Order: sequence, then C-alpha cells, then structure tokens
Amino acid sequence: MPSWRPHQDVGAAVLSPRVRGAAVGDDVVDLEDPALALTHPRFAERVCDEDERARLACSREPKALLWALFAAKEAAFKAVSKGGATPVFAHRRFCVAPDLESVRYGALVLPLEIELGDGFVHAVAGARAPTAMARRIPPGADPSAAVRELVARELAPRLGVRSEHIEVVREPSSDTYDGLGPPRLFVRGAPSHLDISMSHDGRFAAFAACVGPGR
Amino acid sequence: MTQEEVMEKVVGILKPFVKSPEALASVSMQTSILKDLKINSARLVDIVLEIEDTFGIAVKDEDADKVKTVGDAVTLIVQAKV
Repeated sequence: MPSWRPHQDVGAAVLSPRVRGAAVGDDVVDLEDPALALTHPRFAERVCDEDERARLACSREPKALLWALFAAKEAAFKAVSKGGATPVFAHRRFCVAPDLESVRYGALVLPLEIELGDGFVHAVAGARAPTAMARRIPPGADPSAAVRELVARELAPRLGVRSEHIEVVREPSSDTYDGLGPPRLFVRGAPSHLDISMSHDGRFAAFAACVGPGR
Repeated sequence: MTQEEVMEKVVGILKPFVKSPEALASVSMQTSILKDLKINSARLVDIVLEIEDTFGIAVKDEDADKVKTVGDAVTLIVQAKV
C-alpha cells in the first residue's frame, strides 16, 4: 500500500520549463460528507476496474482508497478533456496504478498525485510537480466563490500580483456535465500561461495549477 | 408506464440526494441535475445505479454520460423500457 503524502508545494516549479506542456485536472472529496452514506452497494463495481476492486478488497483503508480512486479518475478526466473533444466519462476506463502515481486512459498515462488530508482526499492528474492545495470552505461561504478566492489568494504572490488582479473564467460549454468549460486563469485581464483546475465538495475547496499545454 | 409515472419515480430516486428540498419543489424535465439540484458526479453514479435497480434496466456508460437533466434521465428510462 503506497504511503499517502501531502502535495509538494513547489511554487517556483509552477513556472518551470520541465512541466511545460501539461494540462492539469483535480478533484477533492469530503470524506465526512453525510452523503457518502448513500453510496450504492454497486458503486465500486461501476467506477473501478477488476484490478482496482481487488485492491479495495485487500485495503486496510477501503473508504479512503475508494474515494482516492474516484477523485483520481475525475481529475484525469478533467485533464484529458482539455486535449480536444470531451471523451465519454466512464470511470472504469480511467485506470489508477497500484502505486497511485499514475492514471492510464487508453494509451495515455497521466502523472497523479494524491493527498489524504484531515477529512479529505485531493487528487491532481496530468502534471508533474503542480501547485495544488485543498482548504476548508469558510462556514456559510458559496463553494464556487470560495475556490476562486483560494486560487487568487494562493497564486497572486507566486505571480507577483495582487489577488484582485486574478480572475477565473469558465465559458459556457455544451460538452460538459455542468454546462461550463474548463477554468481559465486571467491575470490583469490577460490569459495566463498557467493551466488550472478547481473543485469543491462538502467542506472543502481545492485547486491545482501548472504551466499550460503548448506554452 | 407513462412518462409521468417514470418522472415521479425518478424524482423519488433523486430526493435523498438533493440537499435543498426547495430545489425539488419546482422540478421539471428541464431541471439540471448538477446546477439546479446541486448533485455532484459521485451521487450521479449512485442515481444511475438506483435507476438500474428501480426500472430493471442496464445503463451503458455512454448513455449515463448524457444524463444532465431530469428529462434526460426520464427519456433514457422510457427508451430502455420500449
């Protein structure tokens, strides 16, 4: 069983040429969300392949592993979807490696980082050494606004700007589940070279950022 | 089973997953499962499985992927039962 580890916050690496060309996806799961009690008995059968289900059966932390696998697949789907036409999202087609360090989708292998935090699991796929983090949403705050504030607050100092100079925009899209395209980062009104992904679930907001594809 | 009967059962399936009861009060075929009912992708998997169990059908991944509104779910079920 691979050890869980925190994301490596390598702010400088956000601008590093060695991660140039990556598209990033992320997903956070609140492990204490009461809604998890509604998880269908066949949920693992639907979202996990045979190998993953075998690992779940042997795991000492099956709940955490199941949601780590799910978050990894969601993150990988987001990253892959930025490469062109949005693929059919069949969770079983995104296969997470036993060491939890990569996700395979067809012939494509994406790097993966998973953080198991206090009450959450956060997965980031598609980029090596991304800047990524998950934080609690302030009580009563709108989750979408909270994650945008988190992005602005954390990336502003790394980009040498004020947080109010950062804006995240999602254009309408007919290809996505929520009707919006992937988030795009704008700094002082201009498109940023950073590729970002955002997510929220229950008590947590999260994001990941890296140098975008083709830049 | 009529479309209305299917709709009623689908709303019953959705109900436990909807955090805001007011959102279901005005549910229609156009209601967005994510945007209007605030149901996330993990719960949508559960809902697809409940639909399979309730209606005795098998929902392919490609068909599940197209379910974005309550109407999409109803249409999928009606077509599967034909």
